[in-house]
Amino acid sequence: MKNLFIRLSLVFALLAAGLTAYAQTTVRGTVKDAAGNGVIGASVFVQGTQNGAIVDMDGSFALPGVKSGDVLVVSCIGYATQNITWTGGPVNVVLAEDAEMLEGTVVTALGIRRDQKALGYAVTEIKSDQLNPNLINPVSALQGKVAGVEINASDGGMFGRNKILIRGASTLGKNNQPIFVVDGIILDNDVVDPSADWDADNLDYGNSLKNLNPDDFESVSILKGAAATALYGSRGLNGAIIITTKSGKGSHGLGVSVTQTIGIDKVTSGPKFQNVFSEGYPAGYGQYFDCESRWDVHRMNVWADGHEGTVPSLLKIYRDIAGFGMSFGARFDAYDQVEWVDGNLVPFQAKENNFVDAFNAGFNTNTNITLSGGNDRSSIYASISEKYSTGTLPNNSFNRFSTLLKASHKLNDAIEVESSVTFTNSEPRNAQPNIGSQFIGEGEFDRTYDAKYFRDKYKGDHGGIASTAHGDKWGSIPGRGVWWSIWENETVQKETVVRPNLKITIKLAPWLKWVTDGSYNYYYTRREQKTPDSSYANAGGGGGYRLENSTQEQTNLNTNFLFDFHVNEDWQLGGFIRGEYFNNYQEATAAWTDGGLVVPNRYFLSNSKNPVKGSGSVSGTKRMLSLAGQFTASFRDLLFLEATARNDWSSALVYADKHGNYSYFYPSFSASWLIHETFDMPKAISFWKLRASIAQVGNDTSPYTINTAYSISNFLHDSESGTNYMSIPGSVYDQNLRPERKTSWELGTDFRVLNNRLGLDATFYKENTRDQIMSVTLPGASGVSSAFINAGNIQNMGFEVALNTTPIETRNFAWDLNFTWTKNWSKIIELSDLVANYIKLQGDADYGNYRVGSVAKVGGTYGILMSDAAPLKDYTYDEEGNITGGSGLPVLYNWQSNYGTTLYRRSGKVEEVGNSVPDFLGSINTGLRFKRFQIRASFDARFGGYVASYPAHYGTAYGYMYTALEGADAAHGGISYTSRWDGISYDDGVIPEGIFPAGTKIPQPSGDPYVVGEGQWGTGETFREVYEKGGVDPCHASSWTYFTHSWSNFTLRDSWFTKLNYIAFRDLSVSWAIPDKWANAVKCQGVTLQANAHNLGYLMNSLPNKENPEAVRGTAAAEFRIRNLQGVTTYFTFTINARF
Amino acid sequence: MKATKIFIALSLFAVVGLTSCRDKFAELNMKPDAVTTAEPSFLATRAMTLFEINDYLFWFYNQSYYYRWTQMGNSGVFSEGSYGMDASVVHRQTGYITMLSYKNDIESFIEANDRQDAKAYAAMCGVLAVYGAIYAIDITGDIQYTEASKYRYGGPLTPKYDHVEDLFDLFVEELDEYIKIFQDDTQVVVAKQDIIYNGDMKKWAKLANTLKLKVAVRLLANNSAKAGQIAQGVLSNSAGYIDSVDDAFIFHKADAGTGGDLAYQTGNSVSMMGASQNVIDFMIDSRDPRVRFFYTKNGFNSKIIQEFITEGLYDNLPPFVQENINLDADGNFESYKLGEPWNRYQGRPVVWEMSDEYEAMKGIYFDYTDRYQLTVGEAKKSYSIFSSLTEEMIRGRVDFTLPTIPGGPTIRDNDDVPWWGMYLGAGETNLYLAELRQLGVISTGSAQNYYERGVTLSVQEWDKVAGKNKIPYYGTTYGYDPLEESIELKDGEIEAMLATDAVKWDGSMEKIYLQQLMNFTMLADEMYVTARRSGYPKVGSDYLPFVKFQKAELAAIPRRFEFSEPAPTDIMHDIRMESLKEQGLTPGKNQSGMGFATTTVLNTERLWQDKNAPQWGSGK
Repeated sequence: MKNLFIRLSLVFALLAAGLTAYAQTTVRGTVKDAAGNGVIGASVFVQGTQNGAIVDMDGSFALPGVKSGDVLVVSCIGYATQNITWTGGPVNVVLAEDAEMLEGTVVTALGIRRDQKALGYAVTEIKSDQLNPNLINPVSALQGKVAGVEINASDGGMFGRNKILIRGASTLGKNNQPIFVVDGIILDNDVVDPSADWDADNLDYGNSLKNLNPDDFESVSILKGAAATALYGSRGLNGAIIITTKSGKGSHGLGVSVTQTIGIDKVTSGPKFQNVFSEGYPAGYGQYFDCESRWDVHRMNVWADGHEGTVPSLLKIYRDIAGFGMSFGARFDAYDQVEWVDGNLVPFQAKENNFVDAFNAGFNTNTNITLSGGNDRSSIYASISEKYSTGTLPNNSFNRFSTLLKASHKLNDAIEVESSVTFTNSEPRNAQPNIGSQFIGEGEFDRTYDAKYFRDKYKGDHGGIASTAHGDKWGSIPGRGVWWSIWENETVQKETVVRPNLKITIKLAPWLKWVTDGSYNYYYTRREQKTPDSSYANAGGGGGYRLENSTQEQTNLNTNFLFDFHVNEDWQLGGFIRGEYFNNYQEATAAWTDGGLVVPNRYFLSNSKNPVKGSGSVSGTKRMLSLAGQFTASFRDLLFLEATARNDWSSALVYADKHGNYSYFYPSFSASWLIHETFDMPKAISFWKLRASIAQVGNDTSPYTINTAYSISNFLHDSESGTNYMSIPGSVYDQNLRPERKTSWELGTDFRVLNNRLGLDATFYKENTRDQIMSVTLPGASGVSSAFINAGNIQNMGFEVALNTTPIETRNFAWDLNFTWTKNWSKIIELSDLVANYIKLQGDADYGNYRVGSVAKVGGTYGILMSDAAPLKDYTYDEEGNITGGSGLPVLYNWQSNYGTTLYRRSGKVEEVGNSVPDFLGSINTGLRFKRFQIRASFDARFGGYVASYPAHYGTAYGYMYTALEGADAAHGGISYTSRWDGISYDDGVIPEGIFPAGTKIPQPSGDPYVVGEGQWGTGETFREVYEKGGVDPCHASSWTYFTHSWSNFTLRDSWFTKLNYIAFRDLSVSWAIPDKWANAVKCQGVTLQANAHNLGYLMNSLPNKENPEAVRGTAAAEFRIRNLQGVTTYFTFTINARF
Repeated sequence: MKATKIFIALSLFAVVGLTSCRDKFAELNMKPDAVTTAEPSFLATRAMTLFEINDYLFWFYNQSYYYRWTQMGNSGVFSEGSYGMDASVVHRQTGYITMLSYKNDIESFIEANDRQDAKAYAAMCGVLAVYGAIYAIDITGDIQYTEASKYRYGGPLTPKYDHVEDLFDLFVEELDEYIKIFQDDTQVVVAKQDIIYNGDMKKWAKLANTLKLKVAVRLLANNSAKAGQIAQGVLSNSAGYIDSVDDAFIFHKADAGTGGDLAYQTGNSVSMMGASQNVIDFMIDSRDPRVRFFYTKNGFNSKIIQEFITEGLYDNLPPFVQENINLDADGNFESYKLGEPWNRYQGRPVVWEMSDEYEAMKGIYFDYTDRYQLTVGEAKKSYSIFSSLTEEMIRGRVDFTLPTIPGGPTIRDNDDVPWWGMYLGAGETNLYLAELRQLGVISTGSAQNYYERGVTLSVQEWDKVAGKNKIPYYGTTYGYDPLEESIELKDGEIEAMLATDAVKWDGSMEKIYLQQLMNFTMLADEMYVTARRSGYPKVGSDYLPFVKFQKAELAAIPRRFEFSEPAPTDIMHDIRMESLKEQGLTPGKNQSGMGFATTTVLNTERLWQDKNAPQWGSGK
């Protein structure tokens, strides 16, 4: 209303002016942007007067009282101002987006907007329109957009965490993720780290980032080096992502924007399975019906005795073996029909797409309404948003409702009050289990399982799980338990975030401002878990109910004096001093039923069979006080210097007896020099800046860590009152821990030519993080499992390059093409004396399902991989351990007559086998604009760094994954031969690359063994040599595949331990701004239609079974192990945005 | 003016906020539930709750090797694989280190606070540490003991390895010291904190004294004189030794109300070893009631047998079932020959894969497909023909379903029962004394008396444990099969057992060792040590023969696990390698491997205590 009043007043004023003016004319015209949309709210003024007009809804204006020769100033925030000398006629202006405005300033630490040209360090700022707001996790929207940042999806599912790593890992701790700062409030970006070895699922409900509404983002700044984050002191070690939300500031009048998105999530591709062989053991593993020999596995593997002579020769019973866990059996072309587990006769064939068929399409919708408006003194921004998504498995969904209200008002010329409040409710429900593991022999889904049909056939009419014991129709269908838990179990988490903020700015003098800012972050989570009893009629007394609550409260207060003054024509000085207070408090309580539910399917705590159990604690109490300051100086607007200092006093490193190093100082210095302003440059060079910085940041530790003492528990033992016990802590703590300290320097340049059409931004950095706070594993017999100490030095050094080009730019057509390239070298310079020379980061080098661990080892890169399961290599050594001879080939075990194979020997020694860190990362972003159409596509790539895949490992061992086909028959490279043991002809021969040690007595059908000689290497004879001499048959592929991948005997094989290279087709978007007149016809200022697709697949993927390469377990920095078998889920959305 | 006022107000607020909180840092950084002062009784209780020799990892890894190597159990056909495709993963029994940690922590508290009255708590932990260390030595040989668990109190980070022989001496000294503490009446003990003996120091003293017998028998192969000296010391010590069911080291950790692993032991199901037919035959021949506590009944109750007959599947019944029943004129079940419950225990024959014996019996025992299955209408059920070790004797959360005919009632016992563990009983004690007396290394008492008392007490103790653990059929028949018998110990059974040929005292060492082995059926670690040090079961025995396979030399059967070479980067590497070298043990993997040899280093390179012991199956 008020806005309308202002407008009307202006119109009347202008009219009045027009009536009284002499020889003056009303100028009419339009103001549009490059895409042809009217620039609503742009102003047109006669220079040097108050005479002006505002561009209306259809982009046109009428300005009376203009005389020939007047200069019209056409301006709007975000666009380059144009001055036009009027000589008559209508004025049609196309405003160009202002490079100075958009690219010229960026948000830096503490939310301070600075001239980019003045910064001595690299900052990348991404505008909201480049981010896909429909992704639940805002981290995934940044993928491939910033040089120097590695972002990977995890196996956390729809609302799970993503992994983000800036300039490599700085700390040996698991969490190397940057802090997220939203409007000045630092949000936790904790990691999730379920064991890749022992936890089948990563049931990740995500952290607080999913509660952000990306539609409210104005910009996202990525602060990479220490100089950029030095003002975050003890929390800036891993970089910072600064999110600034929109406000109504700078807008004139009222703007309403409505955005509606609908979309689907679809598993568009799955891993590669083999579809040639059905269920059955590998060669030699069992005795088979209808087989001439125990090695002749490609027959129906029904155990012999029970069926002998009783099974009709054409009808094969598959029922008894489906889903038994190995798939080396009969060929799918061997029989026409078989009797399946449900007793039906079915065509004998693999369901080739059953993995993808197990998933449904998810549906999502996102509605966002914003109102913004303002005038010279006040502004307001309000948004309301509702997002709902269903996942690709039943009952998996996410819901988010969020509002943001921001207002500012200038009380007078000196005082401005700003306030905002964010409210979010979100509901992640039933995180997806690792259903992929059902397809690799660990579950019950074999290659004939029709996932599409059977995914909802798991329940008996009585309400419990279907069972043959109760005569249920689906009692014999595999995987009932899996689908039961997906359809019937319910875990709902409800999160509420409330974030009020109040900021007061007082201008104390023309050169001095005082700003005080207080905010509070309240994060409440409740979780309800309902587990029905699955037995007959749900009456078996099982089931359970669990209720959890947790809250986190953060208080942030800061007060600042900002100054800015011109000393003289050459020098301008600025800066601030600041005091900060931060307090964190968390508590969590939980209660759950024990021993089952009394009344089935009723979920309340007193329905517990045994007394209700519970837990609760206060945690995470931490306080930090800080003083910080910044001093900037610029010389003739071409040389810029900056110094910052921060001192933190943190409670996290104060010991129980009150001693401790709790005061930490972090300085930074940086400089920027505009060469193109200093020297005369060729005209082609439009911009050239050099920048340099050096700084220190730090990282303390979590609350309580250093003060762990005895813990007590109580329990019942033959007495009515409880008995107590007291546990000794497992760790000892250095009594003088200091914060981790990163010292970094960087050099960079920003070089642009041809009117900014070609720009290169390159940075070189070197960072050393010393005094790592690390937990070192101690020898078990010391009585202490770990020691918490300060030690070490990790070095990261690297290049980040961004190349931005605009090959074509015309009024109607523009094409831009941008590249980033990132290369980081890390090196562990030093570790503690307590570790001989390596520290385990993730996984075990000599145990478990992988037998590969990533470690930090002096002299090596961060995340070197070590294993004791590499094949033993045939070498001879001298006393010092130097190689003196040998073939270098893998050493083979003796021939295993039972299984018709040999296998590799494990080296048995923990040794280096690779590296988990990518060699380099890259991305390509491109956009085409043609009139009102715009197409954008982005691709990102990772090259190098090993991953180890559990599903590929066991999926190959058990014959399910594509890699299990190697040599399995002639079509897949198998050698044809006649076995000397049973006289049968086979085509499943594999000749392993490997050597039998001299003296090995290889069993022969005749009885006398073949004794392996010294061969050409002097150490033995290769398999091929012995084979060619007739001393051994080729290995039966199935048993070779099985034994070289089985738990007991596996060695590292290419099938599952692979260098990961991929190129992801990350995003594709097409948008169209419908013509203004069409929009105006429906009373809109503008309407934009947009179609997006995120994660379209991989143009390249080096994993042999084409699993999702970004399914590495959890988000711990050094994790390299894939545990979930996942396909690619593509998110398709269609958005309509209308502005009123 | 206004601006200035607001400025002053907010400045004051900020200054107060920034300065008043620094003193609270220490308080803020202290976890609310962390306790900084030790309480010795609570620490001792914790040690008792953590004390476990036969935990999940033990049952998951070690036990199957022990049963196969000794042939005391059998889950299938014997093959090269029975001797370990990969035995590199072993539960090394390092629990004693935890016990030492608690002992040392209590001692450090006593020293700092001059609380001499709390020494009994440290002594309790000390006794448990010795018990655990003995088991560690059984697997590992030399262990870290004297310097272990001291880093927290300024001791070494990399404790040295102590020699077995020295440790055995030290254990006796330590136990004697603990006995004195338990006999010192200035010690104050809170009864409810002692979840083993409820504060009865006399029983603790007996336990400490009796534990020395475990040391003595382990010395026999190398120093029988010292073994005798130690054992004689046990007999003469005023503390006395464990000689009644009441004294036995049998306890449970927590009541049902506590729940979880503490009350019930591991929540993971354990793959229980199947019974060996030789062992079952021996126990049935000797009418040993313990067969019912250690092993499960098979699925063939009289109702099931009759249903097989009714369905015309008499021929599908296992031959041993057919042999054990009398049929009436119509060919229906009439009665048992060997009655309930004995007829329900059945083991697997000990045979080598692909051998002639195997081929002859595989259709019955190994490759029987649907043979032991009944289908009535749509319902189908399979019945187990074999007995296996009773899982509920090692963990409390095991569900039992009574075998019934298809379509018959579903009778279940799903109750979780707090788990009672047996660690050292009077049966074991007396059987050791019988052995030592019969070998002549001690001079007190009658070997026959010890033997018969040992057998009697062993049966009574295991009956108590089975009853506490409420194993299936204990004290109930479930009212389904009228011929079903419950399995608890009944009057006169022990006397009858002592009178059988297989048990009757005749002074033979074999009978003493076989009874020790029977007593240790559920204590696989001790069973393995007994077989290893005695050479029983013996090849060719009339009672319980050890089967020597044509394809496997006795010297190929491992007597210990592999020792992997520590990573070169392991801070313990040099110390460990030196220790292995001193013991003459070659580290490495795949030493039993898939390539089966006539001898293995795992048999020939022996631990110190095993050095002069007889070969597997060779007797003594």
